[in-house]
Amino acid sequence: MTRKINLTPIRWPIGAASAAAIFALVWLLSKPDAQLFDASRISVISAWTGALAVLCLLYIKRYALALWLHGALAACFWTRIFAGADQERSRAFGPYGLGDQLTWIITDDLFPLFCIATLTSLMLIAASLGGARLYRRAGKAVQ
Amino acid sequence: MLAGFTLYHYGMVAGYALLFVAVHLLLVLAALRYAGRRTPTWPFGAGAAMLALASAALLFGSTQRAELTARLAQNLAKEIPGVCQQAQLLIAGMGGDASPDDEPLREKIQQALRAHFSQAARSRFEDDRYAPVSVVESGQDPKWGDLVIALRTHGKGRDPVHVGCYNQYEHRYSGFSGATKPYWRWDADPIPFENIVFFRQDPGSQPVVEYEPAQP
Repeated sequence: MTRKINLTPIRWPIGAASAAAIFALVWLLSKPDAQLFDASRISVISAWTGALAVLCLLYIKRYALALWLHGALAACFWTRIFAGADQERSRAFGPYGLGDQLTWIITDDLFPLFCIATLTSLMLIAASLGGARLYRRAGKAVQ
Repeated sequence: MLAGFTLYHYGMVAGYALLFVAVHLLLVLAALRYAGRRTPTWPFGAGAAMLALASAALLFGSTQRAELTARLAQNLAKEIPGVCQQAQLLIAGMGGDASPDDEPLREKIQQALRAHFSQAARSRFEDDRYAPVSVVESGQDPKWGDLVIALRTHGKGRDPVHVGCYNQYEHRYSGFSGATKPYWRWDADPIPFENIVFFRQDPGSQPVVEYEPAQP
């Protein structure tokens, strides 16, 4: 027996506001002026995966809200990675193209975070697909 | 001088955020359509437009950065020797050359030099969080009193290169010998006999230090 998923829709201003709040909160908590791995690598990775785990619980409680927050979380992860990489780039003379930067993100220190962010994005796409299906089924059941 | 770099960084992060939104919008729309939902076509257009805008912004930012660093290099080559010259004038103006044995006067001149260096560093390099230069010493080192600016270059194993002013006035009269040199003075030998010496490390081959006498 699976738990019942709460499919109650929420109005978009509430969803957008809470997404913006989560985005701002995560950015404030993650010390935007510090390099990503100034904190220990394990703690950053576990914080990010922990946020994803909480999000999975939220999907059961309130699916529509969780979709909004999932988007906010994915935006946080990606912009945080890019900001860290671009800070590295802006703090050096000499040629350092976008390609070098991407290589640095994908293959170097930021690789674990890149994996988590990719996973978050894939989960977001899957969740919105699943949401479309769930809501259609719920709509049919009501009718 | 450095505010452009902060602006550049924020602009790039905003461009990345837009890129993120565009890519996810397009992916979700494509997935919905693939799953058989009927979606209107205008969100695709909006997503494509955002994608194009974000890419253009990122490319523009990249070219801006090259210009910013070129301009910064020019400014540095002009301004740091100027700071050294001003320091030299300051010593001459206070009569430092005339009385090397006058202890209180020397003390006063040293204070003025340090204030001049820290003021110069603060007014030019305060905003260095996102810039390729940073202040290593602004006259605050109790033994040496140099002004040292580090220029970073990208790449593993590349040490920063330094430019600045050696404060020989303080050093020469402090009767100070055999002490451990700070690392920015390691390859600096022999330093010209001036009170304030502008120096520039050669980015190609680290050990070479160029001097230009800081004469007005």
